[in-house]
Amino acid sequence: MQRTPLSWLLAIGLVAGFSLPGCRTSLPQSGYVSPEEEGVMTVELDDHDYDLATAGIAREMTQRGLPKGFVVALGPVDTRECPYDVRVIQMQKSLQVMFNKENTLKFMSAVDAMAGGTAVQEIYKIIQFNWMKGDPIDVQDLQTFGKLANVSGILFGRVSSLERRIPGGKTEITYRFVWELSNTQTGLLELSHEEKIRKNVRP
Amino acid sequence: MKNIVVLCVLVACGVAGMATSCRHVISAGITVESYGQTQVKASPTIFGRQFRVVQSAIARGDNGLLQVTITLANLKNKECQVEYRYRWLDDKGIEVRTGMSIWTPLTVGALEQKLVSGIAPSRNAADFILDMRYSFESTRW
Repeated sequence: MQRTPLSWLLAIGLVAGFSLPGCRTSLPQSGYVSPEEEGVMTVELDDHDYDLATAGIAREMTQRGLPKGFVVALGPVDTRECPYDVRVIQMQKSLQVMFNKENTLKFMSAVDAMAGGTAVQEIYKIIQFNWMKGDPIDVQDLQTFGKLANVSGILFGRVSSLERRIPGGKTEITYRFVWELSNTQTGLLELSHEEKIRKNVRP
Repeated sequence: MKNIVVLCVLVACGVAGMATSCRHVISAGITVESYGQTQVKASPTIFGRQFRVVQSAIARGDNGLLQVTITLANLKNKECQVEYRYRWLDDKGIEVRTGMSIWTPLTVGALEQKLVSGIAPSRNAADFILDMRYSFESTRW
């Protein structure tokens, strides 16, 4: 009879030791998970990286307070210094959705803006060529493109990455997104913005 | 006597099990909320007294957008990795949904103060909620 309290204590100890792992976040009951979660992380550009990259430039453009009705076209994005796939169209669509909700400026791709016009396509090719070569963009080309395509600004982009091995068998990768918004009416640089994303991942 | 030793071991196992299995409780994060743009309320025990809200600045910019900067101080002598996001509410308390409310990583050094800034995605935003959580590797796979 004297052992009864001790047995209870032993039982409590067992409960504490073995049943408390139930306190841990349980595995999902469904295959669906919240897209807000960090998600799979690899050295490549993952879903959350696109969110970070697009939110950064969107925040910068919002903060600058571009005039109401300002139409921005996503122009050439140079991804040659990044060995991994960069989904430019996905970024353009994400920005389009964000600005549609923001309701001040309109966002589209340069390809959509110049649909049907051969003259505007030729000018865009020159602009694209200069951007890819790293040469300055001709102001007259910008202004002509703006008039013909009916856009107020072109957003240029450069995506590069730097990859390093770090102790512990991990890889450090830094993506650098550089954005420049040129005003097609004045020919001036409206804003420039840099967004960096660094990840330490195990390959 | 032998039973008491066994009991102590089991209780120690239990406590150890509790310490590891309930980690998610402290990772639940904080919510810094503004009310009427006049004050910022924050939990006094942010991350187990790891952080303190030192200062908050809320203003409407020339473009009519609400801008916020919260100064957070790391009270511990240890670096910490967190994530934060701003959520925005209109004057009726309805969430202004936007693709810009995403979890952003932030590393705060030992005893360091960091500025956590946000800008509303729309002129309709009149209030905000700042969410923070510890950065943890996902455990879902």
